[in-house]
Amino acid sequence: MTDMNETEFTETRNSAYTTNNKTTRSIDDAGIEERSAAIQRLLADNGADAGVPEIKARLQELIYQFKVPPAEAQRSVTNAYLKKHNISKAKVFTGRGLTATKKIAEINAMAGANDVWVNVTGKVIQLWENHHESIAQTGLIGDETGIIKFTLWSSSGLSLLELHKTYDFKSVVVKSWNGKVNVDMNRASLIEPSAVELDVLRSDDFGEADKANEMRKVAELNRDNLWTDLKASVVQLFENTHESIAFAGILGDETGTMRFTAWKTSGIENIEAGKSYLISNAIIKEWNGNYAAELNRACKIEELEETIDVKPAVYEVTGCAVDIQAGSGLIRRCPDCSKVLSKGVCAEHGKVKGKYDLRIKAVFDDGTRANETVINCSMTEKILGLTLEDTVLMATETLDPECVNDLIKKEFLGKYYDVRGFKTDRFIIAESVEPAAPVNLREAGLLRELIEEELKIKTISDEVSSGAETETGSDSDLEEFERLLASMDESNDESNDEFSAEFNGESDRESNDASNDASNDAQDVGFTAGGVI
Amino acid sequence: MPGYFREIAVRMFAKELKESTFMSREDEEQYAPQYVLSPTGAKANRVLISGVLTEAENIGLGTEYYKARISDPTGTFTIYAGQYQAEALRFLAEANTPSFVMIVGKVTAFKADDGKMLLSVRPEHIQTVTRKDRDIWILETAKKTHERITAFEQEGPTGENTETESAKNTESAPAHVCPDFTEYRSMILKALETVSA
Repeated sequence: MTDMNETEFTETRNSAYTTNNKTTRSIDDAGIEERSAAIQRLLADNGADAGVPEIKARLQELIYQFKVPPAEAQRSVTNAYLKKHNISKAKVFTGRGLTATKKIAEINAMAGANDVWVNVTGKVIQLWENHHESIAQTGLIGDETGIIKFTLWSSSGLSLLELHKTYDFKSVVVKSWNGKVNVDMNRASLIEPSAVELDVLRSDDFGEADKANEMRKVAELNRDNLWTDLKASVVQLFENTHESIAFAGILGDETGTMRFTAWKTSGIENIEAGKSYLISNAIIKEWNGNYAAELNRACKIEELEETIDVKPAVYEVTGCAVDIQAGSGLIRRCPDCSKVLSKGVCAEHGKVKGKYDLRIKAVFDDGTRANETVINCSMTEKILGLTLEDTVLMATETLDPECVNDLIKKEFLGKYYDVRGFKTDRFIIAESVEPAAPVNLREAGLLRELIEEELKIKTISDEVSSGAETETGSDSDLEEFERLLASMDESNDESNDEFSAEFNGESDRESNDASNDASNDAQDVGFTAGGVI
Repeated sequence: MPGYFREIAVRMFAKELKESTFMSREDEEQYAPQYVLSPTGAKANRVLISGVLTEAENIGLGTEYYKARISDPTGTFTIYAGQYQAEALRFLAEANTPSFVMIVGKVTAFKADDGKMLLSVRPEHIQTVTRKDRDIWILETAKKTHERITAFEQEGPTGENTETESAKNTESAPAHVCPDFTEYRSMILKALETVSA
């Protein structure tokens, strides 16, 4: 029924449009006649009654008296009647007649297209975690040709979709974003349960981008919005910082490690560090070039009997503690969400009685990177040789929570530390922080030898090419050079005199050039080596 | 924090810092960081320096303003700490001389009467350290300086933080004349000799 309406309405609209174009100056009564009839038909089809004369009168008023363009007048009158009879505009105008019915594969092929209206029949195969209040539902629908993401906006007023049910989606909008296609269901869309039950393409046959449920290794998880299964061991659990997060930490397998977040909505009740799990339907999210696994409602985890070996991904750095950042020392956390309190106030829960915690946020600068490092309570206690209680007592006695920070600064700043830990996007989560090992004398010796060698080469090439005595070489350098000269003299005994002569002046060297092979050799050595520096 | 990055503390011996030139601000913004360009091509805003604190004196009139000299094997650093470097000020007021210190700070400059730009360091943190940390600093600074020299000789001045226009400009200079780094190599050697067995 609606289909008929659509086509009819569009036809009249189209004809009205052409009429309009032809007779821009004067509108004859026939045009009004036609429009009135169209409106009447439309209303009749939707169960509302209105006489043609009345419609005509309204149209005439708008067109002649108020000089409203005829098409706009028709629209306005139609809308007025629809409103009067309480008929949903969405229902009447669904599809606008231009809407083509498409298969999902066809829609997926429309990448780059935006705001294209289509009809599609699809089965709801996944419902996702919803992150935004303006979205009522989001997930995947599929048919026998493919799957596509959909977004059902809250403002659409549409009723929610049920998982595994097939619907006819009418007047949905195809949007492209970042090369991916999505269908939006908005206020103008119409969703009806479909008469047919669709067979959805098996997930294995989906295009690479939509591939789900494939077992992957951690190292392969390097694409945003990738759905995957994985077997991994939980390396570390972080302190929970948000109430919507059930667990967060680091997981890994033999190929690498990554961060993960298990949302409260996942229903996951227990994850323990050190245990291995089979995780199905995790989604990979990219942030600032780093990838993390998110476990949401679609996700299931299962503890494994076997233990997954984890590739050690420890980050090691030796650096000088150049700063202790704000938020170090004795801090208070919200008892509900563990967020750090600022002046006794939690960003989430307002004024709360915080619980004390001890931590250090230090910057270990190795001359190449400023490594921001977080050191947790137990490690801080060890380094300071004080327990959390000691520091609380100290702060209470001195009436100054900053005194702990001063202690930390005194302990750390300006000293070198060997830091080992896990590198996250910004911070190193320290696993061990030890005062740096004393300077490696062998390394210092090697560097000295290398530089001495470079100086030798440089001096020779300078001496030989300019014939002038170097001013830059220190005494020891000169000695070095003389020693070298002597050794060369030994090997080139016969050319000894010429070499010294040449050494005294540029012109001499040039005149003797051809006759002195040996000194030329010496020169060559100097030059080539000089080029290598 | 987009756009924010912490300036790396550049390792530099006193001789090299002394011979560095102050770069004009890249943009007109008041808070744009200021950099020095060192002879070996390091571009530094923050430096990590270490040595022996040889003297610290209050040169302020009325308010406390400390000037201190830090001596490393190649020369002397001058540091100034005023009321906005409260921690450093307190440290210098109570410091024993001579003692090993480690300083992280920003390079600043002021014009002397004869028009020469004098470079000094405004300490962010200053701390007494042991010989061990001083030695680590010497070796580290030696390595970094040597790396800069080799890089310079091979591909021209790099500047340690090369994001900025001026650094790029120097880099892309077609035929750069490679300076003679002999004196800086000797400087490194001199410093390394003090790392004791």
